[in-house]
Amino acid sequence: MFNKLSKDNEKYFLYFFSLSFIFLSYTIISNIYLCVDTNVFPDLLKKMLHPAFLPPTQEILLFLVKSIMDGTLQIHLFSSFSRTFIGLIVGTILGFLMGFLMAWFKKIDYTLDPIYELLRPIPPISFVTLFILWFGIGDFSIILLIIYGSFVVTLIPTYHAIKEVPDIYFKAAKVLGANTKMLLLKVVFPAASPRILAGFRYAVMGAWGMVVAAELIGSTSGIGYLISKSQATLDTHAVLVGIMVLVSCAFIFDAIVRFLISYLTRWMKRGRW
Amino acid sequence: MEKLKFKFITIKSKLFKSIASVSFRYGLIGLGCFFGIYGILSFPLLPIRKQLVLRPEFLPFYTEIIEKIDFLIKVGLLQKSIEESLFRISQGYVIGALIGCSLGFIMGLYRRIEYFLDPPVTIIRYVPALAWVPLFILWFGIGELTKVLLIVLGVMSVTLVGAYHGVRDIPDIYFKAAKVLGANTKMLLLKVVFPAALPQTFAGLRLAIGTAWMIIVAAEIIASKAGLGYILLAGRNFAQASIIFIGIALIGLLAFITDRIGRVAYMYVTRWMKRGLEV
Repeated sequence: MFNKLSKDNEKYFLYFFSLSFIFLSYTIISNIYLCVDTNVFPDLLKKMLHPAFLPPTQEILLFLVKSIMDGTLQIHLFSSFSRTFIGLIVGTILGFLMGFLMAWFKKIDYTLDPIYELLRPIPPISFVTLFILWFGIGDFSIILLIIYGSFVVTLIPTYHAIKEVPDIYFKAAKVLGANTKMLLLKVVFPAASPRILAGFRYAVMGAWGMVVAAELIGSTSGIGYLISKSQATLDTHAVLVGIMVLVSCAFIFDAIVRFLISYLTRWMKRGRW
Repeated sequence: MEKLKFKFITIKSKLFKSIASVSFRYGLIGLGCFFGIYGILSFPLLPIRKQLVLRPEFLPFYTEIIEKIDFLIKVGLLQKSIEESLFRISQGYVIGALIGCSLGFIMGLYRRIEYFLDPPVTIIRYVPALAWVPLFILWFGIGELTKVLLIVLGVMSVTLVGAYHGVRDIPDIYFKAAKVLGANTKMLLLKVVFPAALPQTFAGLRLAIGTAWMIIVAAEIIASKAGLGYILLAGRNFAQASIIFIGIALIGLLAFITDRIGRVAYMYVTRWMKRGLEV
């Protein structure tokens, strides 16, 4: 009990130490230009200390507060969120079903495998210009892109996870008299679940990344649009605010997914070096 | 001579077997349906072709695509794009994979370093790779450095996760067994940790190939003068879906070749694993 507590304390202390180290050093470096005449420094250093290159911390925080008060941040965030959610849910369900069907039924696998092999190596993001050309700049193209992306990302781990269930599990289950339903529910899905869930984690991250990319390329709302607009007007602090918001959202998503994974695979006994 | 002949015969019989196999026949049906439906939809004489998405610029017929390939080769855009994209990717991938794997292993092995490096690495990892694009353009301009750094960051974050989880997910019983059998730290590292972590590390490395392609494509769509992503952008700007198709097919082909190389490496490294169903 005591041992565990002290280990956790050490962990959180180190987290805190590292974060505050980064924060403080950034604040100091980005505020040098206020205290010192930067003309003395060599050219490159002077350029790096310019507030358009490294905006001071207070400016970033002020912009964050201002855009929350305006409501602009929430509007952009909401449009990014809704696109991601719709695309992710539809895409992962389709991907899981397809992956399972392909792994389980040989004939479906044989029929769809060439098409899937044809489309698989193509990064989903490269369809963005095609979808924009076909369906115009807007929500529909982006959601379609995310559906496609999360479909491909969940299909592969599901397929491989089910295919790579060790032979001995099948043999043991069959020897003990399992029928197909039991084999699926008690052996295949549990054995494959860690990798399927790991794939789902990638799908969540991928969808969030893709929404940003699609918004950078062609959209009129969303966090990605906010970032690209601020880049065009040389507002580095706004770009950093956008990135901060993206990171915190990604972190929250991932924390939820990670909790789900560790809860669902709590039967695994993980070692520690 | 005799040996060569024998080899040729075995190759021939293998080819024949694969053509005669069930999987080949079903695959042919699948591919035939895919390309057949597209061919019918985009057939030039179809009466509804002038409407909406079925317009010839949006769904080009195969002959139009071939014409466009010829055009792009004549202009020289195709060769230049492939060369530039491959160069960028290989640079970024090597640097990113080296940093990512070593960081991942260290973080998996040492608790204190893990806790100290976890926040900054997590922050960098959670930034969607392409959100860096505007910031890097502001910092380093629209140039090679921006794109290579983007790939380094993306590849690093993916390989780091693979290596870290490879080390972390080693079952406790391996360590216990090794320690009971009297392994010292060096042996534990070389004989237990690295072999057991290799499959996941290589899975991460293979995944990073896809990530690198994704990043390079998106970065080139957003800012570049040549490259595979630029072909996609050009297709959109000229409203020619055929150019986009060529770009997508090229990206797919190159990504496929690089992924195959990664897969061969993965299979070679994990050849000791006994798989139930064949992959």
